[in-house]
Amino acid sequence: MFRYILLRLGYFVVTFIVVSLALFALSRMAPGDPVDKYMAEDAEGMPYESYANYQARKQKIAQSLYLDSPPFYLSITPRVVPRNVYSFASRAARKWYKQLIYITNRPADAKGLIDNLGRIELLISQKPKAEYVNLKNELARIKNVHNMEQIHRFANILGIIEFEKDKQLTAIQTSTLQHINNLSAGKAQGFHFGLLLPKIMWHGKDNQYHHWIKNFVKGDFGLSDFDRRPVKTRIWSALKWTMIINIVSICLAYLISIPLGVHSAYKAGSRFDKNVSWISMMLYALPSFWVATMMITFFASSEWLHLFPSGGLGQGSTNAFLSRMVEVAYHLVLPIFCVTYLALAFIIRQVRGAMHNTLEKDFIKTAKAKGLLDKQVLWKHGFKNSLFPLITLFSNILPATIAGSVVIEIIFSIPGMGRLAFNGILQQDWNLVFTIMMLATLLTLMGTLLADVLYTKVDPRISLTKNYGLGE
Amino acid sequence: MGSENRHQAERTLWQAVLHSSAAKGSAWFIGLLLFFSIFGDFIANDKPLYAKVEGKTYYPIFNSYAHALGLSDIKHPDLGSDWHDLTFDKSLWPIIPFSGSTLDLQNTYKSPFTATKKNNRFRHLLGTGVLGKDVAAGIIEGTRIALVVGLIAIFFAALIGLWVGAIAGYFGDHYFRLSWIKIVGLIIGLMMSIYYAHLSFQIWSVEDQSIFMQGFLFFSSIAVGLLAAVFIFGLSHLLERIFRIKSSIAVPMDILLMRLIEIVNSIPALLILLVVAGMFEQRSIWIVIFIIAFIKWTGIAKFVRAELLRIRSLDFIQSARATGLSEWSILWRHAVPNAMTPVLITIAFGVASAILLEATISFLGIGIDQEVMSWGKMLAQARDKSSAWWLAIFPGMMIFACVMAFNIIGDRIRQLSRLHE
Repeated sequence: MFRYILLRLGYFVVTFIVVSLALFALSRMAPGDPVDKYMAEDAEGMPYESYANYQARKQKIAQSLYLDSPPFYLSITPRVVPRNVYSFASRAARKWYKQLIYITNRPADAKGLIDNLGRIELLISQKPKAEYVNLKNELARIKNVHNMEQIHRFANILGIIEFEKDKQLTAIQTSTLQHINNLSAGKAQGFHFGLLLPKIMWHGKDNQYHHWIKNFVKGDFGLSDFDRRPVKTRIWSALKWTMIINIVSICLAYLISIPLGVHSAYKAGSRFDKNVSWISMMLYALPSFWVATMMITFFASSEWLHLFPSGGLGQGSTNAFLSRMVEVAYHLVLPIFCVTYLALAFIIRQVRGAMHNTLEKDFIKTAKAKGLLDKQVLWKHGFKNSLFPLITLFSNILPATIAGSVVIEIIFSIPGMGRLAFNGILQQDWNLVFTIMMLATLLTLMGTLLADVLYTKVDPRISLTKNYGLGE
Repeated sequence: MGSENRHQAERTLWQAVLHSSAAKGSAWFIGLLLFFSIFGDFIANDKPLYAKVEGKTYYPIFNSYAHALGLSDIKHPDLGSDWHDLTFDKSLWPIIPFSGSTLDLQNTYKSPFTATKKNNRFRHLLGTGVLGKDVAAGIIEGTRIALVVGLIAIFFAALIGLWVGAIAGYFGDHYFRLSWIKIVGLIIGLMMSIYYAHLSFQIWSVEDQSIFMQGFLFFSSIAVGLLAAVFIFGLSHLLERIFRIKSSIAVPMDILLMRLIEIVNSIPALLILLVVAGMFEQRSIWIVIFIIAFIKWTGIAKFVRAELLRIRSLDFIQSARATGLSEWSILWRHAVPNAMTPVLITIAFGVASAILLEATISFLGIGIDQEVMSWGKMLAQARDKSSAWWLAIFPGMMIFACVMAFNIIGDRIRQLSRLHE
């Protein structure tokens, strides 16, 4: 038993690490760069600053988000890519730097060019002149299109401009043109086979994944990319509502569906059984967002019956606990109904199937033959032995407290976890979104773990078999 | 069990499935939906099938098809304005004389069966939604999206699920044996394939940033990666031959693949679908299809595995082994074909849930392109105008009926296969 639980825990940890790796990789592919976003927000109303200052500020932001370190403990890059890739605080610049190296094999010139472009952009935005319009447009374009053709077009425009007195800009101009020349010389040499040889680099603990997972385990979820409030407080305030909705509706669903499922398995083949199975099948096929829309259309709008509010949780004007509770309950009737009927349909089918299988077993016949009452046979012998799928279902409650009612929350505008995640996606607040994903995944895994331990309570044989019922 | 026997068994299974009236009705309904999605342009279109204007004969719908196929240079006969406004000598219109995206600004939010404002000849049978888009035409157009997403996504899911489930169930933890050099080759090959795929995508995508090219380059990069993996694995195979390495290690395929399934299952499906679809700035139905396939393969794999665990100990597999067939050909030619019934069950349920998922994310406004009409999107319009009940009822009914039809068929196969045993 103890060994079984230990083994299960081991699997839990390994699975969690692999899932966290997958979600981390996905989160790094998300569009938008928080560093650029913070820079733009902070720059408002700021006095002109030097390029060094600007870079330092950028570096500081990247550092606070751990984005100035490599993504993982290990990296495999072509030999030509130097270690200093992460001196570029912005993700787009980093990507461009690597691409330039791949096509030209000139790391120093690539870095010089990208740095110079940053300098030019800053300088001409500080001293706008009519002559710079073309240059500015090209700079904006070169950020999206990285190929050499575009770089040459930029070089042509930069070459024409006479900066006259501005010595700083003139110096940058000459060095930029020099870098571009070198780069195109590199490109002219064609494909360089050094690219095919990878270099494996070990970065140690100072990497993005390590900081991310360490902080997650410690419970520090960082700041929201959107409004820079701590993700933790946003999640806490949302969690309450999702938990209320899901716990109430799952309890309701269990209370209604278990007697119905057991009874229809007991009366298998009867009209009652057939009706229950048809109704549960139909409920299961009803899209919850449609039911919710219909509810709002017919029960919550002035056109038809206006019985319930169409969304939200009320004003919260009354401070008295009881009246506030009534107000909230009144607002939650429709959402809870919509979550309940779906769970109901699913659980009835599961309970009925499991009970039906059990009731066909020999020991039930024995129990009946020895003269036990139907009720005793049904609940004590039958129900206890069909608990397996119920435990599996029960383990779904944990993750449901986070992701169980996404659509319903959005439709009824309830500030719960689902709506928080959805708005996070629309606002590209990836830190918030992936924290929620991680929490939901963690709870699913914990639910599975809990279910596995509960299985052994119901059926101790599991923990005794050679491979613990895991494999064959 | 010979293949002749199996075909016979499959045929009788299908006959038995279609024996119940509910399943028969569902099969007809799915057939109708297929018909709608294939011939939708001839059922709902804002151009006539045949028209005679000022003595000239036109076949506008056929013409636009020919144009799309590159057979005709003219997009459609240019008569200056909307086909609805013309006066015809003779014309033959589709049953629904609108396309899903046709705007009818004078008739926005018309309820069904009421007279239209501009031209009473073209009625909106099931009413109109925002900007006067016809509901009936939208439903026909939405059928195509629903079926394409449901069927193709589950096709891919079944492909992955069959492989994973078959290997996990058939080989178990002890019978998948590889020499150590091949295991090393596999691991290095996997890493190298990721490396070269990533690298080639980075290099190629510098030149062209259009979404079409990016998609093309994405798949070419994967091809490069696969090539690298095959090369390195082939190398390890060669080394194995040269040095005559005989000793092999059992790879616990079942445990590994079941862990993989648990990992995929532990990520909440709707959330990951919303997140990944939301990550792409360019919307595409293919993105939705691939994510749904990625979510749904695990269910199929589990069923196939359970079935193969049972089948692999049966007599006919043992006798196939005795004839000296290789393990892989026993697996694919004898074991897997006999496990097709549970796969059919999960496919039927899978299509239903895929259609539901697509409708859900379209309803939330993520995923499918803006111009394409889908059932979920039509339902979303009903949220903005609660008095327009027809916008809520008709598309919802379609989703419900479609999901129900696939579920009934799946349920029926399940009942019968249980009886069969």
